[in-house]
Amino acid sequence: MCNLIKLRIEKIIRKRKNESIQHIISISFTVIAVMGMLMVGGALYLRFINSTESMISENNKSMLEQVNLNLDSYLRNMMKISDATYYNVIKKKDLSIESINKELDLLYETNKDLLISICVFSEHGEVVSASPVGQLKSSVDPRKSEWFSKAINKKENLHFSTPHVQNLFVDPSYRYRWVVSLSRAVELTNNKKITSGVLLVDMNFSGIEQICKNVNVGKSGYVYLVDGDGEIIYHPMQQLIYSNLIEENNKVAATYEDGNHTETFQGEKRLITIKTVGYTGWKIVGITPMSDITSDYHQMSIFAVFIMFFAIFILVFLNMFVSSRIANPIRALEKSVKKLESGVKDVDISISGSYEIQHLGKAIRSMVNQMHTLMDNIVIEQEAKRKSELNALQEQINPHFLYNTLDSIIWMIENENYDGAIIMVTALARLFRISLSKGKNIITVRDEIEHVRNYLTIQNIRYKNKFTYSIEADEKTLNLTSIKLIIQPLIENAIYHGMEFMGGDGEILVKAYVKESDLYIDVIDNGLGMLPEVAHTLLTNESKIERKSSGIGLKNVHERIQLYFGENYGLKIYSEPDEGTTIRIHMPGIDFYEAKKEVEEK
Amino acid sequence: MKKRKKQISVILFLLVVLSFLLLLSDTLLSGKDKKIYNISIITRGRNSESLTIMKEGIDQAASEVNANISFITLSEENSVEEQKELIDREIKNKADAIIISPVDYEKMAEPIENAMKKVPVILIESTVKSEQVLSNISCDNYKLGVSLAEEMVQMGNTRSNIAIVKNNLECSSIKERYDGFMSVMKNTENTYTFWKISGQKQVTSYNEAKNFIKENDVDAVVTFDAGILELIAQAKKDLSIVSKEKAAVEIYGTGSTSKIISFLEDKVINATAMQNEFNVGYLGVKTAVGMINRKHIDNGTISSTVINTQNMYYQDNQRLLFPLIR
Repeated sequence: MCNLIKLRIEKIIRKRKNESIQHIISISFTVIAVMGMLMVGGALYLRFINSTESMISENNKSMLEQVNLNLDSYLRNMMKISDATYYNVIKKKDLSIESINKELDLLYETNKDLLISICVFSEHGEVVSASPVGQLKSSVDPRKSEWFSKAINKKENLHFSTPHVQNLFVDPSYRYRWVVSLSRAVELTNNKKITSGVLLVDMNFSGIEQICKNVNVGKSGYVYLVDGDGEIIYHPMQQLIYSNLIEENNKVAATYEDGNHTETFQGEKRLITIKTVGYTGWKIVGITPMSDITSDYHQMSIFAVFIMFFAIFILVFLNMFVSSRIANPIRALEKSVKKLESGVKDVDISISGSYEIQHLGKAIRSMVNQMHTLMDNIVIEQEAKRKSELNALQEQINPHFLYNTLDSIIWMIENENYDGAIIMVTALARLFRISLSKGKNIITVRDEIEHVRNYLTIQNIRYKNKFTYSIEADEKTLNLTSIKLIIQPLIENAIYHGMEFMGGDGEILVKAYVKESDLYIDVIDNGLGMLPEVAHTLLTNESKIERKSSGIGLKNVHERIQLYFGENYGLKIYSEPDEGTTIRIHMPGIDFYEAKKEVEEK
Repeated sequence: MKKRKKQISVILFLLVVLSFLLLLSDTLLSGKDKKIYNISIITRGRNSESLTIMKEGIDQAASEVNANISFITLSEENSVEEQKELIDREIKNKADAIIISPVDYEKMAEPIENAMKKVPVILIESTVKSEQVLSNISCDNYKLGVSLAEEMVQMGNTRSNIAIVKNNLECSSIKERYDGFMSVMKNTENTYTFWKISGQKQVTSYNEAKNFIKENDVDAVVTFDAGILELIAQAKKDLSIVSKEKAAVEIYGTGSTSKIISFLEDKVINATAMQNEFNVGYLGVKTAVGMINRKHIDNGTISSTVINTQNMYYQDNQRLLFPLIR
């Protein structure tokens, strides 16, 4: 389980890894805030529920306690009246001698609010005495009444009846009153003989009603009273129950112990509080519908939900604000860094937000500036270095070649070959004139070809006609521009690597032509040739093989052309072993004089 | 990103507004329950004493549903004209519902149908001739008549001369009771004297009843109206002091005023058939409120019983006859 959660979290984290900082801040803050809110809200809500329920239970209990107290004192009052009638009146008088009507009247008058009547019956159901004095209805036989039989059957007890209509006496105003009867067996002294009888005290039902009526046990809660068997004595909707319009769970309630219970009755959950009334065995039942309690919860929960939503709403906005305050400068910085990465020049590094980010921005900005200057410096330096290197290389031809040539000339003069010497010296002079070219790097193809011709002349003499050569230059090419001294190294290469080891039938062909307005100069030899792979390396890497040449490699020529005219131009080597090599110079076809004019105009 | 942010904030805002509305509606709804309904009740006669028990039920229901009840009796017994006027007056007085005990099955049909277009009208005890679905709260009056007749037969009236008071037969409840009664009686060998009390005033009616009993040799008198039952019982009681013979005249009727009950107890009246009037009143008001709120309330049938001297103090009958007075 733990592992599973761990995996889950890791998965989420992995997924979120590429999220922006604002997202991470706002989402995690919000999640934490919402969780906190829910937890606090839930805890408070649960606490509220718990305390409300126990509070209501306690409240009900104390309410019923109060009712019980009232009822108890009421019933005790009744019993006192009954006791007083019995012990102080009936027992003391011989009924055959004197009447007890007066005493009963007195008792009745003092408790008129509580009582309907006090009467004493003989065991045959005849009225011995009654107050208020009344005429027994002809149709009524008290012996058939429940209170009478109960009193007779259980002599030692006082009996409380369930509410019933008092129907003993004739009432000229046709009023029928509901009473609760308190009956007991009494001993009547009649002519010194003791006979048994029944003392009946009819309590006004409204007395009980008053006690139970206005008890507050919740909004729609109420209190009712049942006897030990569950017969209803008082109920706020008694008549409705009698008329079968509503039902009450009274039979079950009578079986409950004292205290709080919950039950479901007719689909309604209710809190029931029971309190047993002393002596009578009656039970006070307090009913509070759970919906009363839960309606409070409902309101509370709606309120809580509202507060929670509101708080979450505000929190989310706050989080969004805060996170954007934090993240926006970072994002701006990040954006400018990204631009920098993609090679945009002159990036304005944003400096905003909090101190730390401002600092970062400043640092990056100064770093970038420094980098730019460094880079510029490097470019300049590199360029200068290369140029000086090239120049140095160009210089390098001269001593070596000069030495060799002069050596040949000396050798010729020693052999008195003056013609050859003259040719050689002339060629050398021309060679150097073009070589110098007033220090210019760009010359016409004509001059370049002339230079090559002189060079070839010298070399041919030096190598004693080991090879033949020819130069074919298209008329159109002659006025085009060329870089100085680019063909000569190729010829040198061809001679050293191609011709040196050949018997004497070496051939070198220099061919200049225009194709698609570009200038091409081919140097073709029929020397040893080489493998294409080797040919390829000549242009890219410095060959590891020690060169006997003057040191100007093909690579150098290639780079020079590219440096002047761009990547599209340069050398191409086509070679086959034992077949020969063709090195092709490719340059743009630019008219030398027009270019010169343009430069001058500028 | 921005769009999403906007979406989130809009959703959150809606949630907040929604919860606020919820809160508001909750507090508003809880306050709404306190509406007071004005309900008018128009009786069939001028004597409201016969309606005491029903009034108990009405009061009970009124206190439950927070209704303001105006109880209107007629100045003249069973007057169609007056009932019509009262209906109009009560509608004008902005009654939310009218509970009426119509006096005439046919003549009251139109005024009640008209009134029903404006306010809910609930009929109690009797009904009217109408195609419309009417809310009628009453016991099965036919069955009530049958039970009364059966009681009479049980008491030994199989070959007796029975006087039947045929007052107010235009009122459907009484007509049905009469029909029910006659459906049993036609199987017996009783002979019948039909009789209608014509006097409008109580004193003249009383004298008429007295004379009728005095002059006619009948074994039993039957009436289906509580008021007339009281009159006849009173007449019989007064006559029985003078003549023993007249004391043997059996009286049967319907209704349960306290006077009737005391006559019953004194054995002046032999038996009375009564419906559970408390329930009629209670359900009448409940149904009225239900109709105001356009909720359907199941009309439970009202029970009816025949009460005689012997069974009147049985627990169930006691509860029926003497509602606990608050």
